[in-house]
Amino acid sequence: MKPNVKTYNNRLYGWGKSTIQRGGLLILLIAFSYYGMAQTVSGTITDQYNDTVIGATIVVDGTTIGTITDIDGNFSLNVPEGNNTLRINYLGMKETLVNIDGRSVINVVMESNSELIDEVVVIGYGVQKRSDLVGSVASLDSKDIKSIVAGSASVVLQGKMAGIQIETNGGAPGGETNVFVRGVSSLTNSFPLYVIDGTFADNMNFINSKDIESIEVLKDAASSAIYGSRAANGVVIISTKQGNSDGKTTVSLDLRTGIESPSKYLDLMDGPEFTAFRNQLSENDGTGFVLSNNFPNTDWQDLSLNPGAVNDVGLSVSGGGDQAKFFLSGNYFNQDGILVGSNFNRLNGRVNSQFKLGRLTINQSLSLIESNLQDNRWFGFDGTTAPILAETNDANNGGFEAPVDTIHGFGGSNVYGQASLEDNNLKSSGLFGNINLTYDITNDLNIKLNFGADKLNQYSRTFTPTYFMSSTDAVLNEKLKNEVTSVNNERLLTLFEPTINYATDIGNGSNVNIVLGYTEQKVVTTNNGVFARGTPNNNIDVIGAAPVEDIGGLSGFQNISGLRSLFGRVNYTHNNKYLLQATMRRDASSKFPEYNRVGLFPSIALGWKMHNENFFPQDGIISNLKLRAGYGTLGAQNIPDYSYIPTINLTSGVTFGGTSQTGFAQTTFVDDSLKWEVAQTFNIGADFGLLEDKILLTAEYYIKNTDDVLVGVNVPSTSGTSNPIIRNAASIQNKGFEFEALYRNRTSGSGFNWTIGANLATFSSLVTELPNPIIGPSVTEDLTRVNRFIEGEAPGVYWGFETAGVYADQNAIESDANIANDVVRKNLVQPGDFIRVDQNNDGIVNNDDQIILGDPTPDFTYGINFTGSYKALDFGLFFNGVQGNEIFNMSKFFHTVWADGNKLATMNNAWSPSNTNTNMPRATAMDAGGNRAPSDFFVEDGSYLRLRTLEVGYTIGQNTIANWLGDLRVFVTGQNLLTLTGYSGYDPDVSSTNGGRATIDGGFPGNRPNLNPLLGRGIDVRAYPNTRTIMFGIQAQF
Amino acid sequence: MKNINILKLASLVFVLTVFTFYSCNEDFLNQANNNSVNTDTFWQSPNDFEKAVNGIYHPITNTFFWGRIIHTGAMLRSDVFNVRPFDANTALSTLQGVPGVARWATEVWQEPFKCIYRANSILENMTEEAVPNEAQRNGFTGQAYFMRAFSNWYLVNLFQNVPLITSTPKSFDEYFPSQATPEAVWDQIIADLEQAKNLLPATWDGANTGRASAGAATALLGKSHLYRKNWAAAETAFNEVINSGTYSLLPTEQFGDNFGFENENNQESVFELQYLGLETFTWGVDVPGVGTQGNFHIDYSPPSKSLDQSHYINAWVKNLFEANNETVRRNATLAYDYEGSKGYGGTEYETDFADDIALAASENMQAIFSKKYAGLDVGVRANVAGLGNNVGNNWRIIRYADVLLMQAEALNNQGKTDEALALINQVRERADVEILEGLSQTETVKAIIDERVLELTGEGHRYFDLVRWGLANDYLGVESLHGDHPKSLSGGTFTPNRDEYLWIPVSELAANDKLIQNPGY
Repeated sequence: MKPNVKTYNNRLYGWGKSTIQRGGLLILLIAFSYYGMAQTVSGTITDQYNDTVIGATIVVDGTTIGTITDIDGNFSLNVPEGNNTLRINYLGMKETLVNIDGRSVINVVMESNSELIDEVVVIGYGVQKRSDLVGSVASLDSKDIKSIVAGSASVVLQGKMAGIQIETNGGAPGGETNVFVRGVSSLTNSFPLYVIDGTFADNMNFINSKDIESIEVLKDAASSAIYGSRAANGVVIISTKQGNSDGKTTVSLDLRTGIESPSKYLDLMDGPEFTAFRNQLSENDGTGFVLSNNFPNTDWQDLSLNPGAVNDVGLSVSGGGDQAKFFLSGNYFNQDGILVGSNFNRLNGRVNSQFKLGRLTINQSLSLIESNLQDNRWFGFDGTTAPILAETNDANNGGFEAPVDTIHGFGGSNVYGQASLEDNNLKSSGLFGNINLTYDITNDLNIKLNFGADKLNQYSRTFTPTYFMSSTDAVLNEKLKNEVTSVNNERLLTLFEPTINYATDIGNGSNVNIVLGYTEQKVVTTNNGVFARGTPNNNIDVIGAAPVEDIGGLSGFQNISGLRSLFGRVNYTHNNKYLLQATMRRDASSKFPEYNRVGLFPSIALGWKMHNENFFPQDGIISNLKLRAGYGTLGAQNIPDYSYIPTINLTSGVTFGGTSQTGFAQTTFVDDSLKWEVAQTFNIGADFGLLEDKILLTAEYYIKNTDDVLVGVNVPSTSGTSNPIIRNAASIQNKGFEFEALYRNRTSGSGFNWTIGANLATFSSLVTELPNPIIGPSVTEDLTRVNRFIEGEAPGVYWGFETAGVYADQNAIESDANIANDVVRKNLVQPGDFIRVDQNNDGIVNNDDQIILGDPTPDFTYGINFTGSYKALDFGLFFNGVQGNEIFNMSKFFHTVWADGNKLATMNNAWSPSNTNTNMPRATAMDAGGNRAPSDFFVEDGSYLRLRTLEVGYTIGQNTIANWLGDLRVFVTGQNLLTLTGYSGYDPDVSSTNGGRATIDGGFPGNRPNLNPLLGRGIDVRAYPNTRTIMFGIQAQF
Repeated sequence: MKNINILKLASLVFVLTVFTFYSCNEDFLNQANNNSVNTDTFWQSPNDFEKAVNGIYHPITNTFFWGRIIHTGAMLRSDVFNVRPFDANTALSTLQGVPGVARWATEVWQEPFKCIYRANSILENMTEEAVPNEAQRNGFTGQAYFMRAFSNWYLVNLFQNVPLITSTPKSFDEYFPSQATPEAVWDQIIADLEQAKNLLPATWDGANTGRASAGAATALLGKSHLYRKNWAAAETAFNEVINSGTYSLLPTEQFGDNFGFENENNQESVFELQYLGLETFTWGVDVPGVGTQGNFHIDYSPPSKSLDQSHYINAWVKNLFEANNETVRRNATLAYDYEGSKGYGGTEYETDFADDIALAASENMQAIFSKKYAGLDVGVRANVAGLGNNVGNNWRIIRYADVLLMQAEALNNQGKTDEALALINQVRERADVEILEGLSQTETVKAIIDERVLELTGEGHRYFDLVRWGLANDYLGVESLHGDHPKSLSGGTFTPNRDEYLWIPVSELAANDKLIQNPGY
């Protein structure tokens, strides 16, 4: 059971406590009250600032009799005769012993512990006092994340730690997130390694955030070197909750319910405006096609976006004793989604336990997850549906209509109808767990065996019934046969990991801690998929009902990879002043050819606790100062299995003699000399405590050079393939400053306490070496590509033309110096087309005049966290911000210059012969002037400041309502209540192209592949509006 | 000291454990890819080579080359088609393309190079051990030579300045070739076709119908010489085809079978790309398990029926047919309001094309539409889906009538005008139109130009013809000899020294800085 939490201890990110310490402090204090020769002692515990201490433990010394203070700091205790001493403990305070001396009222003032920042943090294969850290480790504990409700637990990291960047996919239910630690340094997978209770995972999407006890992020090489490969992008260590050994069973209930609503609507044209626009388009293009004025006026955006409910229900049971303890939890999360045709729900279960058998300790952790994602893949697909279509059309099979070119003019589909008809479901079942056996050979030496498994089954099924919307563009608008795609994907990771840990005092004030370990990890991925058409009835949506001859596609593969590693680490401290950590890891991966298989990754870090030196002023402003520096190398191998092995693959069939025949070809080339991607990081930092550690500051600088970056390089298709070749192709440098600050204000006697914390991280990213430029994914049907990776520039910059408004009239074209020598372009452009700037002043605008238009990497990100309490009332405010990045707004592109679909209301001001004084381009379906080529017209500042969370809670102390009821807290939380940004799209928090048009033509029919989100970063292809969420909740303990 | 001993002991246990695992799992780090065939273990048997040869054809037949994209862009550029502009889809066919805007030039560049790579890998890996039977071996390598020449032929005629790839890349540097001179590419085409015609059989058995034959190689060889104005060499090659006895013109009443679903691979077909219908159609290329790519008709179908915007046929084409008193070829080539004109599935033109006629009127165009490869023979309009099961129409790449007309051109250019006229008349007689007599050499040049329009309109030859004859600007330029502007709906005009060839795709220029953009772009 947990004591009431004193809010000033509600620490900011970076200073959270770990399981271990809390476990030690929450020692079992249950009042075994009995009558007889006893006296009742009561009183109040306060701290040096005269604030009451809530949840301090008071034990009658030498007995198991004790209690904890209530919300007012009061306690009352029956003390058996013959006992005269109370032992009082509270986290962060010095233990206080008080003689009763016959008193019945005892008020105690506790002193804060000067080693306040000596909390324990989880590092790789061990724990360490924060004060002894020499690397860069950020941490969060359960309190820091309790108010976030989201489909993916990774959202809890957003803005909480300096240098950790989270990019989400708007408000998409169950949405994927990009997590970057200290920028993008790799191009195949720049996401960190996740270590959950000692077992490796690719993400934390499937974890129940309420089960999280603590999160530690290892940012620099020295900290993460022990994880070697996969750790080059940082390591996120997640520890889940354990039971307590106090002999009492605690039940915690956490109920939350709320409403989420779209945070923004775009201002789009209505029916009459659109009709006028399209008629102007016909006039501009000289087609003579005129739309009538009596079309419906349908607001598709309003139909598509609606408030939805969010429910989050969690129950946990924990308890245990000296020999065994347990933690059980279950959680159900359901998100309706603000978008028609979208829904996400997730069921989590967890069983954690620990058993002690003499010197043997067995820890077990198991989590089960089941989730269902219904995804709307059509929203924003090439823009929004034309408003002149009727909401429904009962005459059509399926009930929707799409543009008929002789009636509505050319143009697109009905994406609302598509999303409504399509049933697209991803069901995930996962089992994640580990058992580890620790045997204490001596007090100094233990040996540990860890067995872990991560199994994820994903079943995706897409069913599209027969429908008719329009005979125009029938590929999209007509389904004569229904279509069903069924894909099963299973991934099983198994881990075997023995380690030895030796820690001892070697005299002369020196301590040493040695870890040696071995890891063997195997990942097996198995996939089977079938695409077929024509089940006999739209009510039958399973693959088995489709005729064999209508099977239109089959997929299947089994991939196996192995990783075998040896590692060791030595930590040495001397006189609690000088710290040293040295790590070596040797990795061998099946992903590389035999002669390049092994990577050796050493690191070293040093620390100096200056405040423990004799010369350091003891009563100065600076109460704590540690300097630290580290250097290390790390490997990465985030490439598909077998990437170095050249193979001949099946192609699509060809026909001879009237029958389809199999073809074989090498469709993807390989580089058979692939080797480890290696990141070298140098990190230097200082930790300060000021004014008796009321103010804590951390400042760091890092520089990270990643060489032999593995990436799929597009080679000229003259080579014989248009698929990228994976190579060690680039070098990238990332560097930046990171600052964290925390201030705790405690005003004597007011009962009002507050804490403010802030973090800020700067980013500077550069492609330092890249012989052949890399071009990002295509984002339109025309294969428009926006991102580029160019040597000497930031990764993934946008590339295109600078524009200078639009040509007002023919005269402006004739007199434009930019195209003075450009006969061809003069013939192509018309009034209302963009004026492109001639960068090299040769009077011709061609591809040589393209420039860098923007950069998806922010200059800096920051977070501000404010928490406070007044008596039983607590409140929190959390802001996060991103500054200095640009977004390529594809939504604006589709809603401005794309031929199909609705347009933004700003296009009411489009150029026309009667509206020549404007910057908005003319309506045209032809685009001879190239208005659709990437240009600065679509690039916007992506900076924002967001009030991410606002929470107010009220705690009713235990026994207030009923004696069986422990703490009861009621609260209300708002998420994304306010966003300050100049960005005109739905939301400036943009992850990448993944999910947009870019993916539709790829992969298996009905089962769009995941694109590498790193190559198309910052493109707002299909972002959803973010959600604004208001949640009400109750947290109770029994 | 005791601690240390225990440490040693524990380390020993640990090390033993580790080595136990090492020795148990020798293959742990040598994972083989069992999803595909390792290149080391391929190329072992006739079966391997047959599958690999099949793989050569796929880039050419798929949607991104002959299945659709080349028509939408490069073929519809000619003065026959007044294309209704639609977005980037028609950037090439309306002569309004600008590099970097449309995909339509990109994929027609990529696909032939895939074909060339695959052909090269067959030529490099062929051994007598793998395919002991000489005839079978020759069949495989002959097809590889033919398809390499075929791909280069389209590349040099579409892009003019292309890299010449005759081997598979052996090092990363070889992924970045420079452009060769057009002459070098032509020389390679001719050398490859000489090889192919000697290696390939005259005909294939039924199960292999559609594979390149000696006749196909010889005809393409003649055509290549013709394009290079090597008249005598062209004559020799065409003579071989004509004298082989393998080919003959279909009877007059079967003229339409040259473009339809019925009677594919007939006696008149010298080389024909094979297609199956929509049942197996799927976007994307090289998707295993997804059969043959279908052949689109939507770019030739009537505007009101097309998925895109389609086109009208310019009036000069109709006028030429009418001036020539044509009915047989006109009826198979054009749909308009002539006597007995038919629409989809044999229904009356006037009713079936009512929407298209109205559309034409609204756009001030004469209502004249394509029939070849337009899908009108599939069935009645309502039953023809946009991408229905009607996309299995084989494309006749080279047909015998074309060979006769090309031979006529080769002969006439050598002053053998009478022999030339005899061949033209062979084509005309089949078409049931009056024969030509007593024409001068110059008049015969004009006669050949006209005859190729009458016989071959809608089959993808006209644009290449105009360019090689140097007439593109005359007909497609600002002052078109047709009077009416053939691209009036888009306003695009031919720009000399630029539009003869497509632009080198911008993505390719970005990926290979050795490539130089074509003139004018």
